Amino acid sequence: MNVPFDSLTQASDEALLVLYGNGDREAARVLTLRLSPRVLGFAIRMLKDRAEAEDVVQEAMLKLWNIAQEWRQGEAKVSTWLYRVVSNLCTDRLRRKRGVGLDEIAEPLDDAPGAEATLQTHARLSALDAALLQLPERQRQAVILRHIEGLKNSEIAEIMNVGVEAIESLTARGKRSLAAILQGKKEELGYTDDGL
Amino acid sequence: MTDSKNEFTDLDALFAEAREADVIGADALVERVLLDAETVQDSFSNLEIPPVKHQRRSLFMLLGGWPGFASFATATVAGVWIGFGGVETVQTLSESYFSAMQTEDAADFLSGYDAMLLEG
Repeated sequence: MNVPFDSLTQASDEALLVLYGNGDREAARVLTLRLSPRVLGFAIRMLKDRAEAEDVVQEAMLKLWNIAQEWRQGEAKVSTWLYRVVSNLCTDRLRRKRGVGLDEIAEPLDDAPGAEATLQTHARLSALDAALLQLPERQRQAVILRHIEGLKNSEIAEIMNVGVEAIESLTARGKRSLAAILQGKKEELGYTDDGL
Repeated sequence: MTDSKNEFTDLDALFAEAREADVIGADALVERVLLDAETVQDSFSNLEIPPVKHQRRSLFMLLGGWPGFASFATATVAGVWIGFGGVETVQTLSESYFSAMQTEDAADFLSGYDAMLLEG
């Protein structure tokens, strides 16, 4: 029997996964709508390739569906598990890509409408993405998860399979490098000394 | 942590902007993911009728797994042994028991199995 959609939107990720494992179709929809966009944003920033990022997310979600019936409740957060799988899949693809020059990596698709203000925002975010791409892979991963995805250091440590102190170090070094990269583009991106 | 040491002090604002920017156009991906979800879920329902191998396994587990199976085998062997031992063994047992009750002698309940007590 399927639980009503409205009730499902209040349910935790874990409860939804268990419901899915018990045959609830709507639970899969709610979980997909909740988690896919989050991990897609992360995968796009890691890979700088929308199509490839979508493939990674689809593959990660497929793994999630496959382990649904064996999911051990209370052991890990579903979102943390999913970020970890996406992270590993991105790393695999980046390793395969290694040797391909940055210029050969596809630019992200421009989905935003063309208003001037939006263009300025888009320019800033593109600059951030480009700067992120210049960071070493582990630093980039930690900075995105901490400062853009908003995860806790303990969660990132679990995802990246390192200690919390290592994450603190990675994010601090990553932020310093980003600041140095973006410093030269401050005016170009519409920043003044007084801020935005 | 503050960015006081960073040259580019607007980094946190930029991160916030990036956080708020939704990923647009994920509908096609959502449909693909849901199609996978349904396919996998359909395979769950196929498992409701367990194959013969699983049924044997279930019977084995019902008997208590390996410990249960060992007890079951021991009881079977004992039954066969008693069967082949014949009436003499059982008679010896019952005679010893009842005579012991009357005479208060030390009873040898399983005199028919004395040979089993020999060592070496």
